[in-house]
Amino acid sequence: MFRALATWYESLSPGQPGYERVFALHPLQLTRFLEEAWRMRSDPGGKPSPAIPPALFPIEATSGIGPELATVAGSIYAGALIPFRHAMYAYLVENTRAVEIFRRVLEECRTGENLDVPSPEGQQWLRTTEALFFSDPHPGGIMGVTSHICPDFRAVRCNLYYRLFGMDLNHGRDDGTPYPYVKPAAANREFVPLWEEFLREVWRGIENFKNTSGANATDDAAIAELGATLADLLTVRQRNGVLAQVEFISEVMASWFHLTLMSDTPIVVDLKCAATSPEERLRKLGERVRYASDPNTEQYFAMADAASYVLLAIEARQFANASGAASLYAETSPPDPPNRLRDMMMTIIAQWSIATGRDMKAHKVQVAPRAAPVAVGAPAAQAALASARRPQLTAMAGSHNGHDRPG
Amino acid sequence: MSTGDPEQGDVVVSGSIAALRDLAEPYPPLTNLQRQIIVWFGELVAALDGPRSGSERGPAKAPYWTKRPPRVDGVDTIRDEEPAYRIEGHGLESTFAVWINGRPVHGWRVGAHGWLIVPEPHDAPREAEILIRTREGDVVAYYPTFTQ
Repeated sequence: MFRALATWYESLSPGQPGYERVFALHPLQLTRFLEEAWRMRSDPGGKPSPAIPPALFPIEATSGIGPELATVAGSIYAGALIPFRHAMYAYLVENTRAVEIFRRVLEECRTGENLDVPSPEGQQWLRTTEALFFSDPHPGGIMGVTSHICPDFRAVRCNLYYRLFGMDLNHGRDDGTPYPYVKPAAANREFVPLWEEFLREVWRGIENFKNTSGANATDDAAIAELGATLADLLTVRQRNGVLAQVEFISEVMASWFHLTLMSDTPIVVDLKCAATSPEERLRKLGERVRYASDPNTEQYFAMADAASYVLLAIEARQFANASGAASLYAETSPPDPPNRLRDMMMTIIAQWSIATGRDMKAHKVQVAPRAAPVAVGAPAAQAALASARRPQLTAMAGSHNGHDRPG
Repeated sequence: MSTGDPEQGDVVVSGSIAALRDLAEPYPPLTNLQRQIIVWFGELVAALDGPRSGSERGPAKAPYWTKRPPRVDGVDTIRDEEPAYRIEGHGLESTFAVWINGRPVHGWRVGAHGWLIVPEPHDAPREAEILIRTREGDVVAYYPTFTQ
């Protein structure tokens, strides 16, 4: 969400990095901006948590940044209803360990001078970050996803990721033990096998699209089947928008730290961690606070947006029939528009393969069970032969081994 | 598969087979449903993508291997101070060498809208085969416009 705000500021003042304006805002303005954004959410029926009522809005939720951005097309202040990124974005960004690294930065800067004294801009970033994500939220506000019932924000996010994707974060507590949170019985533990099979099938479409002769292994029906199953899996967990508020706040947090790492922002420069890429900045920050970033940070950042967009499209059931499935891999010529879906799918397939170590471009190999030797012609041999020929449709979905998390 | 060597200007140069095939055989048109999905997805990305500032290697950019090969959409001539070919297309911004009928050309430049402006040789041929070499691959432009 904060990346959207930075984008609007860049539209208003081309040439000036948007983060400068975002990080200069007061924490009160930013929390109220989130209230304004929630009020202007697209699909409010699917995200039913109420926004601040109109009668209270002028007092409780006006951020004061609207008048300046009222002319920016596509901004909420110009009247646009906006979608939010998918929870996969938050999951992938959090897997870089950025949240934990910045929590340690806050601890160091609040309690001593080991990391040097930050500049005024750096101090403002620290204050805002602490106020937004490491303080008790206003109980009635959209940020209020923690309470006496669920006091731990990280546990709330872990619960979200587990319910939607059946995955844990790739880092636990400092002593190496898993981070404690409630794991409900109803969780999408089938997500990863289905998602990876979806990526494999789309890759077949990509690599065979230009085939003018020979075999074409593209299977649009299989892509559509997987797309529909993934849509069912994700939307059933989101019935009546039950996870929408937590998903929104998780995305907000991820976009804050992502925006911080996308450029040499004041806190990055203050900590002497300037670099040319988000992953390199995070690696240096991790070294400063003695908490290593994930080795696959580059992959997580590179596919976070693309995976988020594609999953939003899957949830919208855009690929739930064979005719639409080809839009995932088709190359286009004018007058057709450029196919960004194909580009995004290629990004995801490559980066997911690197991050998980499981090659989404490789053809699946199935090992046939070794049958005991029996006399040819015997009824048992006939039955074994028929069984071996039967497609193993559940072979992928039945195995959860190694699919608990990427990386 | 380029047959030309940039060091040997007198060798007849042709384009890569892939680029020539793409020119001759555009991709099959989308169905209405596919076009609707792609347009919808483009609008979704436009609503969420950004910001534009930041690291060159930031996630808002496509990785280098997803870049498309260059494409020529049309060639015409301009008659300003210096006669030149104006080549429209995409991916021509990263051009680093140009040949006309096998002879290397100097003084070309990338103009507005990513158009490539190539000065006509003094002995301008009636038919010109313009090979453009970019970081993403080769493409051939013909003047007058080549049709099969």
